[in-house]
Parts: sequence; structure tokens; C-alpha cells
Amino acid sequence: MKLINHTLLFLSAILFVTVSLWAVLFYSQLLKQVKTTIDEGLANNKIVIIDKVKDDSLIVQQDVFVENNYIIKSVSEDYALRVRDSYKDTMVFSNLKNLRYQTRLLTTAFVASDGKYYEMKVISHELNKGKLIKKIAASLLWLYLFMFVSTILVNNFMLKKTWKPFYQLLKYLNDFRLDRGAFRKLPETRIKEFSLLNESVQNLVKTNVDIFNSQKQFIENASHELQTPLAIGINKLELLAGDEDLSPEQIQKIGNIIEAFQRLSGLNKSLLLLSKIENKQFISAEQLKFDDIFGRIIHDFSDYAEYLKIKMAYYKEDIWEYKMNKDLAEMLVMNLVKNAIVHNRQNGELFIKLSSSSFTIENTSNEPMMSADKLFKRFNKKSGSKSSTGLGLAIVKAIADVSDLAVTYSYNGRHVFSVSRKSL
Amino acid sequence: MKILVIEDEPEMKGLIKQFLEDEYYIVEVADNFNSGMDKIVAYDYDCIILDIMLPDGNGLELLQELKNLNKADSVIIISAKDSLDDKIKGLDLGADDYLTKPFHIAELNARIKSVIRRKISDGRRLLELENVKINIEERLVLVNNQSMDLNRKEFDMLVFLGMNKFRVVSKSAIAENIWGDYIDQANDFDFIYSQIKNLRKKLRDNHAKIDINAVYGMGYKLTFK
Repeated sequence: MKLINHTLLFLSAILFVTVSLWAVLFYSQLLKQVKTTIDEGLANNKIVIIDKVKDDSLIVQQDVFVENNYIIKSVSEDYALRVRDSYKDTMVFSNLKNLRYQTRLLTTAFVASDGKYYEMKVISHELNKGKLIKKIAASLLWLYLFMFVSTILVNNFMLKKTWKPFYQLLKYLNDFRLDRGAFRKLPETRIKEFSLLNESVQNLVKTNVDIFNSQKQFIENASHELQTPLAIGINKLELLAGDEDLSPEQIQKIGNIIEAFQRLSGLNKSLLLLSKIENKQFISAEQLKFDDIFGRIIHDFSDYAEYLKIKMAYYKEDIWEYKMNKDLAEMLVMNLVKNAIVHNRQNGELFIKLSSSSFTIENTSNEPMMSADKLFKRFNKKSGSKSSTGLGLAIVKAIADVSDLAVTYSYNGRHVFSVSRKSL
Repeated sequence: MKILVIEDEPEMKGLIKQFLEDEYYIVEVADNFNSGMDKIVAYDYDCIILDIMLPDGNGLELLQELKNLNKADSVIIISAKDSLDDKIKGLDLGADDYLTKPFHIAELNARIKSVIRRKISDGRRLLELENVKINIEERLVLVNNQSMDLNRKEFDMLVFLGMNKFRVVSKSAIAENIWGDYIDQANDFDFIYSQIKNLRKKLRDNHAKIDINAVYGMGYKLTFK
């Protein structure tokens, strides 16, 4: 629920309760005032009637409200003296209208000039509470609707305006990527809370970007610094292996150490490459033909595949011209082809199909179907494969991501990797 | 042949120096930018091995200085940074080659030899190994002055091993040199065995007085019979 709607709902509920309470209060006040006015009228009326009738020698006793709006009946002195003027609501049946209606009734007593005591009841004109309630309810409903509509308008206008910096901040945070580094400034706002919030967020972002950059720098430096001792180690061992006095066993051990060092160096290189790709350090793009790249890579790997008795087949439907960084394109193809060779089985097959806007690489394997989510993660490798770095497919994914390519994995008895232009 | 090694890392410097002296080069060393600059200005070298990441300056500036001085010294850049920018800049400034650390010492050796070979007169461009003469430019191999047919890979392998004769050259160094940089992604390099086997057979059939010996667990070594 949007903040605007939330406030609106809340406000309208409060408004409804307030207006309803107010309606009750208003009604009772109004009714009181109406009754007072009526009662005053009745009192006046009473005096007029008494004046008119008390000197009459013959007071006409009336016991129904017919043409006059009063009734008079003779009562005992005792009773009359006990009567105090009293006003109350009552229902009267009107023959004229043939219905009962609400009215005010004044009960009083007086003594006529003949010394007799009389009780008199005077009724006012009709007092229609129902109508009153209806009128009040109707006008209050209009008031409520009016206020509701104005609340919506005010909310939409005011809140939208007021919360604009908030939505800007939200968009800013949504757009923000730590690895994209440079961040723009948020627009200024006059509202202090938002300006404080913006400031805090910008400080937070800046600190994080700084930390991220220094970490990145650290990793890159560490990787570079690692290359020199690795180089020394490898080269010294290579020289040592040339020593005539060594036994074949010792030379083999040296060979093993060199291999381990080289794996370390390869891992280091791959990590550096990944960080470079993700930092978009391969900017220059050129129009290239994947056919050329496949030609080269297949040529480079053909002896290796042949040695592993893997039948490599290349079906070229088209040459697929595409604009991207050439080194990355080669790295992409190389890693996929290498992957298809390394995870193949003996006497296995490897099919490469290149069409006008995609290519697929299929390989047989002893391994079962893989989970596509995990496959492209770093260091996701089978335990036991000691020589793969577990970074090849992560590199493939990173390259695809920066080059607007989509790489997908599927399984049809063979492992299939497809690369195509990313659909927008 | 005089070679200058400009490298700040003492182990690396000592290693290259020792290796090059074993190859009968005269080796001088400089371990920072300034002493490197002094030597470059004062002397001529056949080849300069230049680490461009120096503590007191960028090695690329030394290259620039060499260019300004109009010196013809060949330069091989060695760098821990596999940066395309540096590579392009370095080669633009007249460096002859660029090697990224870690490299195989055999590879450095081969590169130094090719760089120097390019400078010397045609007559001496042949790589001679006993009765085998290799003309690298024309890609010809003569055994007892009879030409021997080798395919591209066999030829490259013979040249690489020949430049590193009597040394154990690791399988990965051979693979990277012949099959390109990407092959270092291969999980093992035993696949070069079949190529070596063919090369050995051809050498034997042509009565070459050289042989390629397998050094188990390491690689191969070219020796004279």
C-alpha cells in the first residue's frame, strides 16, 4: 500500500468517526434548540389561551385536539395545585392528516375567573425528528464526501510534492550499484528531514564505494604482487630441474611442484581477469566474426581434444558478425570449448554449431545434468577435479553480461551451452 | 652479447642473471629506475630485460628515454601486470616483446634469442644443432644439408627446444609456446606427446644427431647424441 493511500485511508476513517460523532452532537444540540424555541412558543400560546378562556363564564371543556391545539379539562384544586408546567414529547393522532405525528406537549393548570381549576394541555406544530435526522445526515454526508474528496486531492497534491525527495532517494538507491563506482548527487531538498536522510545515504554510499574500491585495489595489487614470487618459484624450479645430479624421482617431484605453482598462477590470472571484466576494463569493441574465433580456438585445442580421443565437429551455418571486445570474445569461446573438452568423456563428442546470431556447444559427458543456477557461480566445481580452477564458466557469464550476450545451459543427454544476443 | 636486466626484485634479478650467464651472455643488472637510466644512457646493450613496475619510476619512461637517445637496444618487457594498455604502450615505444609474470625461463630464453637473432646479420641467423641447421625465417630444416619436412608445430617445437638445448623444458612451456596462450587452460599437457613422438621419429629417420628426451614428470630436453 502506498503511503498516500495509507494516509488517505487513515484520514478518511478519522474523518468518518469525527463527522459521525459531530453529527450526533449537532443533532442533539439542534434538537434541544428547536425544542426550546417550540417550548417558548407553547408558553406564549398558553398565556394567549388562558387570557382568552379564563374570563369566559363558560369554559368549554375540550378533550381532543381538533380545531384548537389545546384541551382543557376541569380538575380538582388539589390536583391543579400540584401541576407544574411541563414540556414533553408526545405523539398525536391527526384526523385531518389521518396519521400520528410527533409534537411537543405543554401540560399546565390554571384557575379561571370563576374560581374553578382547570388543566390544560397545549400542543405545538409538528416536530418531525425523522426528517431532521434525514436532513442532517444528508448534509453531513455531503460534507463528508466533500472533505473526503478534498483530502484525496490535498493528499495527492501535497503528499506527492512533499514525498518527492523520498521517491527520488528510492530511485537513487535502486539505481545504485556498488561496482559501478561513480555516483551522482541527489537533488537538493528544502525539507530538513529529507535533506538529512539524503546526506546520510550519500555518506553511506560514498563510504561503501570507497571501501569497495580500496578492496578491489587491494585484490588487484595482491594478485599482481603474487605473480612475482610465483615467477621466481617456477623459474627456480625449472632451473633446478636441469641439474644433472637429480634422480628421476626428484625431477618428477619438482615437476609436480611446478604444476601446482602454475595452477596457482592460473587461478590468480583468472581472478584478475574476472575482476577486470567486471570493472569493464575491456572497453574497446570491434566488429568481429565468431567464425574466425572458432577457427582459431578449435585449431588451438584440436591436438588436446585428439589426445583425449574427443571427436570435435564444427557446423557453420553462418559466420555471426557481432560487435564486442575481441579479447573477451576469444576468452568466451575458449572457455566454453575448453569446458566442453575437460568435462567430456573418452571417445566423447563435441559439437559446435554457429548460426547467424547464436552458437551452441554440445558435449557428451559422464556427468549428469547440472543445475544452471550453480553452474555459472565461481568455484562451483566437482570435488575431485583437481586441475580446473572452477572459474571458467564464471568468466563466461561475466563476459556475456558485459557484452549483451545471453548464455544458457540445457541438457538433452548432452550438456548444451548456447550463446546468443541478449533479448531486450 | 651484453644483456641488461632491470628488475627490482632481487630473487628474480639474480635468477635471470644466473640463467643468462649460464647461456654465456654478459649480464649487467640494475635494480631501480635511476641506476637503470644511468646504464641505459652510458652503455649499449644487445638486449634489455625491463621490468616496468619499478619502485622509483615507470619502466615505460626508460623506454621513452631509449627512443629519445635513438638507441637500437632490443627490449623485452617483463611485467606482473597483464595489461593490454601497458603492452600496447610498451610495444609502441619500441619494445620488442612483452612477457607477463610468471613466465617460463625457457620462454624468456627463446624470446631473447629471437630478439637478438633479428639484429644480427643474415649469415648467422641459422640455429645450428650438430648436423641440424634451422633457418627460422624461412622455416627450413636441413639435416646433413638435406631438407627435412616438418609441420608447423613440429618445426616450432624443434626451434623452441633447440633454443633451450640441454635444458629441461616443461610441458606447459612447450604447450604455451606452440599452441598459444590459451592452452595453459588445458588440464594437462600430455597431448604434446604425440607431436614430440612424430618429431623424434622424423629426426631419427633423417639421421639427425640430436634427440629429444622425455624427462618424466617435467617435460622434454633436446640433447646431442
